[in-house]
Amino acid sequence: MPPPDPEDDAALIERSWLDPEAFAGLYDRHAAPLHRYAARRLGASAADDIVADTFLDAFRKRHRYDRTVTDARPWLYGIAANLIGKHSRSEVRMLRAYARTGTDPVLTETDEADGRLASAAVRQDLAAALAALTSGDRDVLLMIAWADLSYTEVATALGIPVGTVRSRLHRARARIRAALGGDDPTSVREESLP
Amino acid sequence: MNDLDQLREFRAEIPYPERPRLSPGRSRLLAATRRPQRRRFTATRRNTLLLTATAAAAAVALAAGLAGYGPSTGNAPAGHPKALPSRPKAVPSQGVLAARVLRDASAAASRVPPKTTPSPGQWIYSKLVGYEHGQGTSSSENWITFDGTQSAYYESSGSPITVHTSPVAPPANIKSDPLAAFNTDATPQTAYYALASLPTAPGQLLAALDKVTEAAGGANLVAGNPVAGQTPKNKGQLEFDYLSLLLWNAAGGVGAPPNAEAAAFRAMAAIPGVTIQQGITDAAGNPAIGVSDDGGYDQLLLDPVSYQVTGLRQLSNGIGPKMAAPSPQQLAKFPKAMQQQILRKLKSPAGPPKGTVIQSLAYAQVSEVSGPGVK
Repeated sequence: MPPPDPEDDAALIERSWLDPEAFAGLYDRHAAPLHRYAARRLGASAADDIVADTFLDAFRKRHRYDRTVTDARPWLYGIAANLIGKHSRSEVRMLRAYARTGTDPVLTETDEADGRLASAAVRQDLAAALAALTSGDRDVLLMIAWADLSYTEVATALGIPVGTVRSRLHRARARIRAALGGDDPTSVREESLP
Repeated sequence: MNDLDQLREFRAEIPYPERPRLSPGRSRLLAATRRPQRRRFTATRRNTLLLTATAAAAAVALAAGLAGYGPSTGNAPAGHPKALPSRPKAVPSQGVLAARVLRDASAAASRVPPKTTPSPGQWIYSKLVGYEHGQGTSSSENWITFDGTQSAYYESSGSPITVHTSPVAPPANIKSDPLAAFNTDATPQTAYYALASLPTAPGQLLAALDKVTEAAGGANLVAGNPVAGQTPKNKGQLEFDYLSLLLWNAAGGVGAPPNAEAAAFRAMAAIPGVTIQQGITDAAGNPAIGVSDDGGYDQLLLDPVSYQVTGLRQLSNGIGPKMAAPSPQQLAKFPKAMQQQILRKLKSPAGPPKGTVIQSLAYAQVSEVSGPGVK
């Protein structure tokens, strides 16, 4: 394990108030996972723009950052969520195409992956279920499943109460389980979550 | 495996991006951090780079004569559409991306507060950096009045400043027929009024361009673009080239009224076949977005943050730039060092490999000043 960075995100952002170039350090810390998250939702090309625009937007807003929040991920994912939201139709269209054809447009964009593996049918069902969610429910579900944010962090990112995060997640998971032909959707438990 | 576990495996094949993939975004961010104060390109074309339709050949030759450096391109230059790998349909298409960039450019322009139109005698200083493949870069500093009647420059380093007064008065129809005036003489003032005169609705704006380019001889008109190597092949390319020419000349002056610039970008987004190339660098070394309507050969360059027009560049189509030889009178307008370069270039117009940046021009600085020699 490398030693933890002595400077947390909040301190780095604060330093960038006087030394703007220091903000690039935030990019170096968080751009790669954010890119992967955006790429899983919209494909790598769209992720390129989303990541770049997220950090430019964040840089412009850096003076308004809440210094008591040491981890900048909720802030960054919140900005990214707004940008991803602008591609909502495209995201749903790609998910539907995947559900219909079994070929994932997001994966066909990259050479290294092939989505048509063992659990193809399950994946198609998942794609259909994700496409049917509201964008707000999808944001909550995927921030928790793919970005490993906690309820509180998702609430911060999306600017909604934690209770809303819970209810959105419950609803989204129920629909996912129903689409997968699993148990009674009402049996979804939250204990397995962070 | 519960539903969340299954979801975590969904598209889990997608890897973390390699560093090169993240570099353009980091460069854009760094560029933003290094420019805490966005300056507006408010000032102008230089006297030796008057891009008039009538001086088209000379302008092309001038651009060819500008020596350059190797602008570091973040990405491989865009090639002809046929040479590009087919893009997956699922991601935003080039057209969508281009439309988005131009929409953002339009929004950025509309946010700039309008300012008073300068007086005809307002001096404008500009530093222009030019690059030419195989020659490296050179830069020149120029002063010109808003109406273009006076200009000033240094003949060579250390020499006294030369102030030139044009024997020709500004076009008389500058307010009654600004586009015709611009076609007669491209000055900061004619570019300003020409853009200001255009309709704000994209369809109507493009129709107005069609009308004026048709009346003025179509493709010949846009030959005044100093780095356009390709003759427009369709109406859209002609519209794009003419609009680029207006914006470029305005960028070298005091710009245009913000709502007029915003309308111009909106109209550009409506031209079929418009594409963008991101992560590139202009001749002055600044990050840029290239906008094109011929598959990326002739590009109008925008600042990726402010979206102001900063440059023009041309990529090789593998054949080599077509250059018209200037007349002796046209040639005489340029500084002697440039004349030699122009003549050398005309003797050996061999084309570099397809996709190579062969010409690039950028404004490193443009500002309104109190007089010639003042920066």
